[in-house]
Amino acid sequence: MMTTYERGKLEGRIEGRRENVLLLLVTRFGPLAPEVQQRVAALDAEQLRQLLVDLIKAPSLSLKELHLED
Amino acid sequence: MSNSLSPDHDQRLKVLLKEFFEQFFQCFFSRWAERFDFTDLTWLDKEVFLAPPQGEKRQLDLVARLRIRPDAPPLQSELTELVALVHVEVESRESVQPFRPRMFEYYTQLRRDSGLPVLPIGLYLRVGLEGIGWDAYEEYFWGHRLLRFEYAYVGLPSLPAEEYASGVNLLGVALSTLMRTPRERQAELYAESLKRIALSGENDWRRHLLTECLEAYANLDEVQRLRFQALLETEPYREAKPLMITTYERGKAEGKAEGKIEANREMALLQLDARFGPLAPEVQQRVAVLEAEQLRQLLVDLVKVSSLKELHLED
Repeated sequence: MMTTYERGKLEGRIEGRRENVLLLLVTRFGPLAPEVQQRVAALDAEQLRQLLVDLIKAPSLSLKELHLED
Repeated sequence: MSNSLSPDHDQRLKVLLKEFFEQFFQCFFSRWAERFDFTDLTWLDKEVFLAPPQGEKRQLDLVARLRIRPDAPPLQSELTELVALVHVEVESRESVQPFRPRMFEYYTQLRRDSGLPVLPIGLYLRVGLEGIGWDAYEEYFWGHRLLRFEYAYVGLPSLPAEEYASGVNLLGVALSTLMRTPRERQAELYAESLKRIALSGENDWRRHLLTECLEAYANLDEVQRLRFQALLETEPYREAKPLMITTYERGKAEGKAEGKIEANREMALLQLDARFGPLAPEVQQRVAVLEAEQLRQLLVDLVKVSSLKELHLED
């Protein structure tokens, strides 16, 4: 079964990705609205990775195009 | 019921075996334990060679060069060699059929390369056979046996978990989740083993390795898991619980730190690729070996520079 170390590693990877995503978002869009922060907080590991890729590869996408705003 | 025996787990099992090598002998081959001088040991398991007939490169799990105590019986008559190799190979598959010829190949190769006597041992995680004994590889020609090669083995699934989980040998305790256990005793034995390790007085690192191994191969179902958690609240575990939690938390914290580093490495690679990509393999390799602080610095520097050279990722 998954060991405590491995569970920690998974959590750390998600947390690290989320921090990096938030950092990129703030750098690009300035202070984030609470709704945007909440949407980021609700993303799972894979969604965070996708967002990270989008943010880096397509620097012109808006918050709306990133599905972080309606 | 097959729990995943991931390559990752097997990799860490090797680290554990190295750390507790003397205990490995004391646990399963106690008669031999006193014949080796474990203070005079060199690891040779980096050894990679071409294994005929496949001719591919293979890395052996564990190869130790050990001095034999002068008062031990001679290895062979007329052989006064006091140094020998011990080769331990871990097999985690459900069948040992393909393992046997491999053990023979490794043996001949080790003998040829080193010229030293070799003691080969197979550690079976999923195949029990008689528990501890000699396994064999044979070759025939028209029904005539040309060759019989024997090596010692430990078949964990046939050993009684009860006995090892309560024994003095900590490696035996850590491996007990791979041993034969009545289903209704699983939770108790697991809790008991964790307690033994927690109270062992070993240092943090060694306790962590032992606990990791126990956890990695444990196979508790939902019922057993709840039972285990309930057990931790009972009197016999009160004393051990803080230490058990410390070991848990340490494992978790270490994993978490490692996960964060991975996330940063991932981000660095994505950003480098977006700006300077596609990246040469050498650049990827350089990034792969950066440590936590260097990665953080790289992420900071990335916004300021205009070439890989400036990031010291290219000469």
